[in-house]
Amino acid sequence: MTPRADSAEFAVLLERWMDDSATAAEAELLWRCVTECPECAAEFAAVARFDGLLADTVKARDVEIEARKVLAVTPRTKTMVAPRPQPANSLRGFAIAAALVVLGLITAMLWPSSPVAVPQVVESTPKAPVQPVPSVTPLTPPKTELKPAPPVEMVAAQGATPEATLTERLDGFFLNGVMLERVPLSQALAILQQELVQADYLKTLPLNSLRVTVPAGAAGRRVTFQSANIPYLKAVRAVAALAGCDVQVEATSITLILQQGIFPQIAEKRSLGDLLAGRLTPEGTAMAEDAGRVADLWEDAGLLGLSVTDDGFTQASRGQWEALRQMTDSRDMMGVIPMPTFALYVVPEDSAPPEGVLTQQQLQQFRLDADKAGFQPVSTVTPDLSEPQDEALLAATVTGDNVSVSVGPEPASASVSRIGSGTLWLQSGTNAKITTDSVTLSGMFDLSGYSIRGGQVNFVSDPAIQTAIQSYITAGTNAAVIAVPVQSTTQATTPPAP
Amino acid sequence: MSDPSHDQFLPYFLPVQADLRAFIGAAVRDVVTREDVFQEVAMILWKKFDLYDPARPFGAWARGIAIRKILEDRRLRGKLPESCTVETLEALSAGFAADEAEAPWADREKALHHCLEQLPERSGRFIRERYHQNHSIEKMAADAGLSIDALYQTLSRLRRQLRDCVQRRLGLTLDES
Repeated sequence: MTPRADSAEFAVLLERWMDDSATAAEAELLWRCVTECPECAAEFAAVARFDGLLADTVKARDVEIEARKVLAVTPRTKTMVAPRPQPANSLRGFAIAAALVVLGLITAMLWPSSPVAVPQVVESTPKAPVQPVPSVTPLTPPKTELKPAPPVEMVAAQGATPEATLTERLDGFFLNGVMLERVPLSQALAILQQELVQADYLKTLPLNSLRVTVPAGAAGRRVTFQSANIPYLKAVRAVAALAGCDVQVEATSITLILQQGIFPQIAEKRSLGDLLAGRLTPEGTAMAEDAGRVADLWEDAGLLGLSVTDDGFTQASRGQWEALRQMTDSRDMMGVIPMPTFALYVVPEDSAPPEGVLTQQQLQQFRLDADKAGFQPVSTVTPDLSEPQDEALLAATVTGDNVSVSVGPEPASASVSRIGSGTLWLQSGTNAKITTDSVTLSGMFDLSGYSIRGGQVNFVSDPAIQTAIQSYITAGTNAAVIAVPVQSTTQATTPPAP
Repeated sequence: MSDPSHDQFLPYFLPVQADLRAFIGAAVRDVVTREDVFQEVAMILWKKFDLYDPARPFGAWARGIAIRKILEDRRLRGKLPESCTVETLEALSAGFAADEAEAPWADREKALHHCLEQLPERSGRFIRERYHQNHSIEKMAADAGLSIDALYQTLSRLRRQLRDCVQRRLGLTLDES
């Protein structure tokens, strides 16, 4: 016989069910009571409604308390990045200041001057035919005595433009794809920030001063977001939008603000073509008519879980639409980032500069040494940014600053290798083989102010490279392939407008 | 099927969404699954809005759809008691309708706000930890230095206290009006 609705026994059953502590037998008894006794159903309903009311009210009160705390804080005023320390009245101080000035000059050359202006696309000039190295015998290693580096010319900075703020630089760092599956918003933002730290492998960002603020009412909202390479700040905007938040950006802070309206958001019918309307390809044609670009948009919509009809319509919430917009903007940026060209030298191992990414001074020194020793580049390569999940025929793996290449069948997946101005080692013996197919390496590139992780270098093994490298392998000597950026006369300095 | 506009759907949905979430929560105790089911039910309500008969209370219609969703959801298979059937959930839905008729959600919410402010600090903390931060009973008991049974009894007492407070305030309000 089932207990009565007003009995203590029923009250205990109900309490245990609502506290998730009921045994299977107690749960069965409770629900049988509800079936057989309308008064039990009414009491269960009253308790369940009150439980829901309590949860909603407590959450709303806590959000209100948090909001009051935020409103009570004095608004932050916009400030520029702290000025560099003034040089002391001493030679040492002058030297330090001069070094900073030089660093500033180099930084000014490399970093975008304005985040808003459209970049100049570097026109690719036809590559001059590269003459292969005529001799198949190993090249004579140069003398190991190295001249001291030429002195750096101290030039006073004149009319230097203000340095970009931290947040203005954040869209220059691409994350190597994002994969978040039902992750609470606060945790999702922490993951993105970790990936930013990894993308900033040269440690140029003062990330200690970056503040990211999440409203308490949204911190627990779960987000699912998947993308290809995407700049950090765009990833933050996309994730925030999916959690029903707008993003406010100041010099060193990113603040998420709860949007008005209900959450979860209701989906509305939208046309994908609207996202490409008005956008032009680098060639000046309408993006909406570019089949490849349209296919990319469809793919991104798929990553967000959106179904698209044949006529290009989808049901998307406000957050999903904003996330798709950020992904579209990211592809626009990828499309116009000027890829540098690298000259490839094949030199004996003991002629090579230190392993890893070369500093500007080491690069300068290598150019001087190569010129003196008569080394000529055997080929050139322009990296081609592709998806980080693409498989590689030859795998480049990194241990510390050492890069080694080995043949498949296990291609490297999103491993970091130092290409660009780095050194690539090919080990002689059976574990290295050059084929006539393309050699693909995953890498990290520093391009005119952008740091992109996961891009891939595809360079076709032309006979010149094969010949040069094979000769070393045959002789049982380790060879080093040095990729040196080709110095161009024009350089893009600004990222495309978001 | 034509797409309903926000203007048509929201005035029906917004007043019942908290109640609907509580109804789903009566059967689905896991917080994450509950939210998922709620979102999916909201989506179904939106898509099938043109099938809704305005002569019928929207809340009852919404709970009807939620009942089918709860019983069909494969995540819940094996987690609901066998005695949790369509009839059981429909009986529960009728209980919700009766409770709503006695006092609307908005009135109860206002009264509860007042009652929560009267709680002592420690009691208020227990309620926040359980209902907002979703702490487990084990963690709460360990932090408070209580046995698990003692904590269950404390929470049970607090809930009764708050519910009685709300009833009294609603009773006062009705008497005054």
